[in-house]
Amino acid sequence: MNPSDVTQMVTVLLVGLVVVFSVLIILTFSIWLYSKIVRSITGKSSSKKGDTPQNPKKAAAIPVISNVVKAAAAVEDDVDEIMAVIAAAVYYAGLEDNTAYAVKSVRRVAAAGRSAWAMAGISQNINSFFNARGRK
Amino acid sequence: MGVFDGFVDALNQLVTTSGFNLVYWQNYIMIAVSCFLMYLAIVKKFEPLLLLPISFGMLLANLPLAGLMDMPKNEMIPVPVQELVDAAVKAFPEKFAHLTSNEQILEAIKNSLSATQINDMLNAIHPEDVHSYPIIWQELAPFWNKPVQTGGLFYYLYQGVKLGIYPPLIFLGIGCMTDFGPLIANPKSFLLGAAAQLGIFIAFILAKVLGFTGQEAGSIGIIGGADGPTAIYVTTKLAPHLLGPIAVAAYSYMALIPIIQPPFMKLLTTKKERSIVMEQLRPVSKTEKILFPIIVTIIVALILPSAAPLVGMLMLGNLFRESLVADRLNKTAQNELMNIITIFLGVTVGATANGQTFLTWKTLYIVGLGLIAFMFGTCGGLLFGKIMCHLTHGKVNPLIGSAGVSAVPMAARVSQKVGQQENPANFLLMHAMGPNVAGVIGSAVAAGVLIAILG
Repeated sequence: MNPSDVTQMVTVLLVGLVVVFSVLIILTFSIWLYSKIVRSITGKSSSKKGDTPQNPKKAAAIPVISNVVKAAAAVEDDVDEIMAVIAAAVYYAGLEDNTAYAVKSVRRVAAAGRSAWAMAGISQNINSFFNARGRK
Repeated sequence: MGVFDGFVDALNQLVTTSGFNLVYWQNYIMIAVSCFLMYLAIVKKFEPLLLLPISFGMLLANLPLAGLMDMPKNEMIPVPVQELVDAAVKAFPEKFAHLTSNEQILEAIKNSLSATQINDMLNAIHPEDVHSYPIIWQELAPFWNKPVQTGGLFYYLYQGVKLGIYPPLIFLGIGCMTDFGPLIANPKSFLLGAAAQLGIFIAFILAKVLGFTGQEAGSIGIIGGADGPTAIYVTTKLAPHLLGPIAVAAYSYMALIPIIQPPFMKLLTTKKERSIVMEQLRPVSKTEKILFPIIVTIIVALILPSAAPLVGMLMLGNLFRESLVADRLNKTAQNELMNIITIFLGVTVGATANGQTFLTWKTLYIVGLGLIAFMFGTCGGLLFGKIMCHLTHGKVNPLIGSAGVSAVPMAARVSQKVGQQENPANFLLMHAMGPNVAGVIGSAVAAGVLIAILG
């Protein structure tokens, strides 16, 4: 192998990695910076408005959380109804391949710190990525 | 006997003029490969939008006599020099009468008269033989450039690939389809997108060791960017003769990402790391999303102008999407335009895979190096993900690093699936989309670097 080939290999490797990382580090910093500026400006403008509460995030969160808790509690009260729905769904799935299924037990599987509601919401949001095929 | 002989002769003539007689063994292999790719696209649903046009283009290119990739043929007819000189002196005495030799007059004609003026003068002398073809000068000898045969359909469509028009247009559509929100919410993802470009440079070095030229090695390395349009763009600039194998390798490996990546993801991460649940990303405001494409374009185009066509079009598409004021353009770019360009790009890239030129040792090397590039890109992203995991005291799941190889959104889907195998309640997809779209920008920047150094 020629010494010029080795020089070219080292040059491309070093310049390539350094430039790619440098450009993306600059972009990282720029995005972090402008996001901070935009958020501080929009934060100030929203706090200037008289009709908004002092801590809008907190204020808005309280009723939402309480609604979710209430809804979840209501669901807990209707366990029999949920069992019936699950059994019906399993029976319906069995119709397609002419097989009889029986529900022997139903167990809640939830992530630590994430409610079933939150997981359902996340699943709904990311479904589109799994349905989308061949973007590039 | 006369009838029998005639029958045999006719059959013989049919056989000798049929396509079977003109197909080489390499063409048969490529026809089989194209049918296998069509099977993968139709039955296995492996990237059918790309594999189907590519494989069909490949099929057509390996069938003889179709002439789809044939160049246009021209005939060079010499212009009668003495008649031209006489006609010019007669028509423009103030320009040419004072010149003493034919050479001086021809030099002056070449520099001052257009092809239309020359044709008009000669057509006046020979009204029975009118010429209106462009004039090509070879030194001081003028020739009519008469088209004899037009090129094949794919030859003209291929000009969009050859001139580097289609890849940026595809990027326009991708920009319209991409939500950079996860990247804006977590800009550190950019670093994962940079680390996953490692495969490009490792494959470049290996290609050089195997005896490829610098430009060929750069084109082979870019397969590791896991980005079809970028690979095609770089190859058309650096090594157009390798376009067929490189495009086929790039798109095939992108389709095979769910098979290539998981073993490395499991090998380089611990069960504990794979189970890490990342914090939910913050919501990103509309203003941030609108400013993003403008700022990225300015920064990238100023630092690396050679990456501007790809990154610029990607960001223009994204601005269409986020600004909400160009809805019609947004829809057209991500649907009709993107689909049309995908058809043109697919069939013409497939048509470059002609058996005689495709089935060589170089192609086998390219396929092998492409796989190595993908593997090292995946490992680079994963290892950088591990570093980030360590530095953030376990807040970053290293699996999202492998999504930095671009290949939107397959690589992010793979991160999600592998993460969910360890912890069914873990949702890494949106976190992986950050490095995934950063990988698109990263591979375009790497492409710019290769073009700038090797171009």
